Amino acid sequence: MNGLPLILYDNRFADAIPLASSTAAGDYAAANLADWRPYTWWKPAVMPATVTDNDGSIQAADYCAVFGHNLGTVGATLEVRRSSDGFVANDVLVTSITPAGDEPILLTFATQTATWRIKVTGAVAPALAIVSIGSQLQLPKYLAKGFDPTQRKPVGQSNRSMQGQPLGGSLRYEQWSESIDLRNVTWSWIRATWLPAWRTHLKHTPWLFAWDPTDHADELVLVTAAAGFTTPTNGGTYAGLRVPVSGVAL
Amino acid sequence: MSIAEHPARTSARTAMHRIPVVIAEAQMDRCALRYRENNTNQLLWSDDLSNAAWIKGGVQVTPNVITAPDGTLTGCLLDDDQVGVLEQMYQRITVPDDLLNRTCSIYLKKYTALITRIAFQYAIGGTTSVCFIFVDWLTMAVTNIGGSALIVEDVVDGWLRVAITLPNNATGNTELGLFILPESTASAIGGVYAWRAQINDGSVLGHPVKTEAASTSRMCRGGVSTAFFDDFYAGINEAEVTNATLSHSTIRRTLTWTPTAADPQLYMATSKSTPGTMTVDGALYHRVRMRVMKLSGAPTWQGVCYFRTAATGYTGGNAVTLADPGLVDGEWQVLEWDFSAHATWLASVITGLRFDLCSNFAGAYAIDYVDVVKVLAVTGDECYNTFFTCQDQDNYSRMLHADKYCMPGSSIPAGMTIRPYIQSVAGASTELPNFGGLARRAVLTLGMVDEPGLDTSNDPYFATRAEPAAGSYWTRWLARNPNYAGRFVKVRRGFVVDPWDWNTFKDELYVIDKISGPDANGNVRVVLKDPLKLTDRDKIPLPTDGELLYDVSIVDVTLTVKTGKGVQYAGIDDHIRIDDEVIKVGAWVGDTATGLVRAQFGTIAEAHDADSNVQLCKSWIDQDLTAVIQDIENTSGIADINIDVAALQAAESAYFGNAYKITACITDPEDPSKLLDELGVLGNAVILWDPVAQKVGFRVIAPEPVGSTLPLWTDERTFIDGSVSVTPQDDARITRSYLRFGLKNVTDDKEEPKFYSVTRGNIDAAAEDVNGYGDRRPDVVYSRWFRPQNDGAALTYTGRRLTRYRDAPKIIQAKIDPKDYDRTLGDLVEIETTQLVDQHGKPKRTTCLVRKIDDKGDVIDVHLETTLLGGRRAFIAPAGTPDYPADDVYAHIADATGKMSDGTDGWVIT
Repeated sequence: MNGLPLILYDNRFADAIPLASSTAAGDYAAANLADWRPYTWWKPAVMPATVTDNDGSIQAADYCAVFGHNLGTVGATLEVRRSSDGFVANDVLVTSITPAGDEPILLTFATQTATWRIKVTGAVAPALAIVSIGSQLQLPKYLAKGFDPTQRKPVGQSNRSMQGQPLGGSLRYEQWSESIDLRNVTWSWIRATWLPAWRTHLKHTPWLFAWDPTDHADELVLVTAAAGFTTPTNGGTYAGLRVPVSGVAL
Repeated sequence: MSIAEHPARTSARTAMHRIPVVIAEAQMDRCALRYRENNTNQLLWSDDLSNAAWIKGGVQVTPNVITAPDGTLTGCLLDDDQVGVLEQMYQRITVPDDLLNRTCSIYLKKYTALITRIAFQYAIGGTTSVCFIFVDWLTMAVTNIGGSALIVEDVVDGWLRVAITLPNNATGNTELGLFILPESTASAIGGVYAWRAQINDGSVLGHPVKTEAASTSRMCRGGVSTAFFDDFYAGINEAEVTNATLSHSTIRRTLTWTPTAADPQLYMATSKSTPGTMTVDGALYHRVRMRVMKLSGAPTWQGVCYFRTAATGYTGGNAVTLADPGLVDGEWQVLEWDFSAHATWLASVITGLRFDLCSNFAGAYAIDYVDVVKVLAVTGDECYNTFFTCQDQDNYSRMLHADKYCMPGSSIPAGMTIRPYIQSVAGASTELPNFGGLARRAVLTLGMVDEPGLDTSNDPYFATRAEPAAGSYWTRWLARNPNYAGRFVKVRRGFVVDPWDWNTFKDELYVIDKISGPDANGNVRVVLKDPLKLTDRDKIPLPTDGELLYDVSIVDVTLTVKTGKGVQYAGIDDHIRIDDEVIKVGAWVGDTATGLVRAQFGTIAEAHDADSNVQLCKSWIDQDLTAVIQDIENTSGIADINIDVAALQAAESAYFGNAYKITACITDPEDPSKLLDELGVLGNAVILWDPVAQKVGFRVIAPEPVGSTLPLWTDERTFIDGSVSVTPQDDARITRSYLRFGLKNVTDDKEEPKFYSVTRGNIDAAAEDVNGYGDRRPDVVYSRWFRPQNDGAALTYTGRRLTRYRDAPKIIQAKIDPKDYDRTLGDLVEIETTQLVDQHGKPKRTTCLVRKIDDKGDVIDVHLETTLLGGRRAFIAPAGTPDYPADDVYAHIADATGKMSDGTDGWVIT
């Protein structure tokens, strides 16, 4: 059974510059975890290492997503931890994973209110690009028929000789472009949930899209929605929602 | 796409499936110092590891062989060259018998070693305490055994800074050593580049400090306005004590203050008994700072700073007490006493300071400096570690930092911060010219995008800024780096493999010419040019503005220029030009030149009036042609590390020699590029920037002295479909080559034939015959570089020129797959294409010169020029040379069909 699609953009690490237990020499600031850029990294200097939500408040979260990492390569474990006292005396393990590969990670758990922290353990320090701990935006409907989660369009070139023999091909990357298409969502959901998310984050900053968090949690794509969205009315209290998105195929 | 899907590194370029990557690394300046921090490097000769202060256990050290992380040619090569011997080198410093931490660091760069080992060891007199750092150059993994806080920083251009901390063990050790083993195991040999070795106190890695014959401190005093400062670098200076002893460490460059009785005191500026030498206006300067480190013991903290004035002594009220800062043994901390609310201080001239750091005598302290300053800039006003944002430019310490960019979607491994800003790569690569001696300079334009966002990459102090960075990436970058022009950019083109391997990349080196934008759409254009561009900007000789103070007669052997102008000629042992006379100068003493030898280089002695300009000349006397070229390149700012010196020397040996010795004088400032162009023509050569070799190359367009098998490029397996086009260059054909040389007077007009004394020519009658091309095409070159003594060289020149251009060359433009990209500019290849056929219409195997090669990532654009320079060519064999085929290096006579005894083609005579 597929899970309802998730949009993941909320991030406790963006509330204030997160506090790392250590940071490797070079361009590895913990703040990079929350900048939604898959090319800036946090890397600890000493293992085990933690990064803690540093705004001093207690807030809700029900997921942790990691996009861009080498936890699998270096054999490290990622823990999500919470605390009721800013990790003075209370430090509770919420969930953990020791991934086999470097694919994106989505960990979901029951909503809890706390100060949040990730901890990485292992012999070798990993590098992490985007870590998002926050509250899921769960879409109220399954995706409309025709949604294709695995299609891809190669960006590159294939060379052939003057006599038609293949010489080799270059593939820079594969692009994934789709449309998040929902039918018959309520206007109240659009106004109360979708539009605030759009205004605060989705319209100008990349976000993570999990089309099936139950059965394919690692099929997480970092997308942008540069073309905006449409909400054609379906009559009454219902409307459609159509959001073209694109990202790099996994 | 995950890295695991990528091809193995062994087939990166030749695989059918490739993932190309283009990465641009701008090597920008960054200050090495940390804002308002001090550090002392206790090792000697930190950069020159060949110095005798470094004890060599077999390691061969060659200094100044590679560009170091500060951009200077001071990197050393350390070579372990004996199998079965564990070669090492080390330096030891004296340390107290204590328990304190010390941190060592060194910059390393891959050469040939497999694993390099660094050992950090307390020894001699006690129980040895040691830790190791291992750098595996294949995997680039850095690991340690023992020690703590291993630091690995990827600095620039492959340089790593590695560091580790180790405490002493108080067992009687008296020395601390840094050992370098270029190759970690005895069974292997190999070398490593190394630079700036350092040992500093404490567990915090200090900023890198250059040392020579003494340990050295380097401090950033950004934003600090000081009225009193003593860093005790050379001694205890004016410090005094009560109930304590005071000593000075020439290694640590600090005071050591050791209380010996209750109520120990430390005084500054000979102020113990009477007002001292200090005069601080308390109204303006009211913060006292001290960098201090507790060395041992558990003294009871007191933390009082007393002051005295001209009118009062150290009264109880004249003090501020600092709360216990919790000093940790062996770790530096900056203490700050704030007198801004102290009415007496504010109203007084301060003449002395007294510190009662502790109340008993249970420990000792190291004092690094005492500073009395104005209110410091608030945290958040730090510099950005660039020169133009520096708040202490006297202490600016240049280091290089790589800002890296790639194309969007590039598969970059985790942990590499490479911004995907490159939208386009366009430009014209270096191209061999038709007749000139200097290749067209390569231009590469990177189209970049801009974005707002965090400033973590380029602001080392971003975490303490009061406000997040405003603007966008490029607007900030340009504001902080207005001196970007001329900085190197390495454009790295390669393929993604698993694991990541920089060996799959071909690196090209350019300099930034200009940056425009960002425009309204956030687009930025970064224009890169090859470093030969430097030869367009300089002048040889440099313009000089000295004027004669007095008239000079036709026989005078001294002259004087106007006051203060002589300095621009002094130390440059060369000629001068006044009006139309060139004069050799014996020596410059102040503004006076003595020992004049008049009427040089064909000029005539004449009288010169006061106020006449005295122009410095640039001359060469009996120099090799290639030595003159190298000298001009050096003078233009191109260092030998960016010159293919080996190619110059090889060409000198193979093609030039005594017949080409140059004696010449340049009497007016001219573009070095013009001079190089003329010399390249004379040598039948091309001077070019080879971006992959990252050197100014030198290719003689003449038969190769030793035959070699040329690669064959064909329609079937090389040329990309639809990419081949052929353009005849009939305009480039000549039938006669002339050289006019022997300029009678170096100040004469170089374009006027009448001023030259010799003309040599070479005519191809067959080409001019009615059954040949049936026309006459003379090519005339004037040269100020050759004298009549160069007659033999002139004949060689005309012959080679005619050989190259006797038949109209054809230009073949084509695209090839990256798998075949193994040639470079000036190389020869053979091609077979249906676009070039013989009289039967069959593809004709044709030798071509590579005129241009441009790596586009997916494909390689090439421009080839058909040439008669191919075939089997060699020098005539000397006496005693074995017969063919026992010797196939020198020329041997073929049979009547032109074939050798083994059926191969015979040698060609040109």
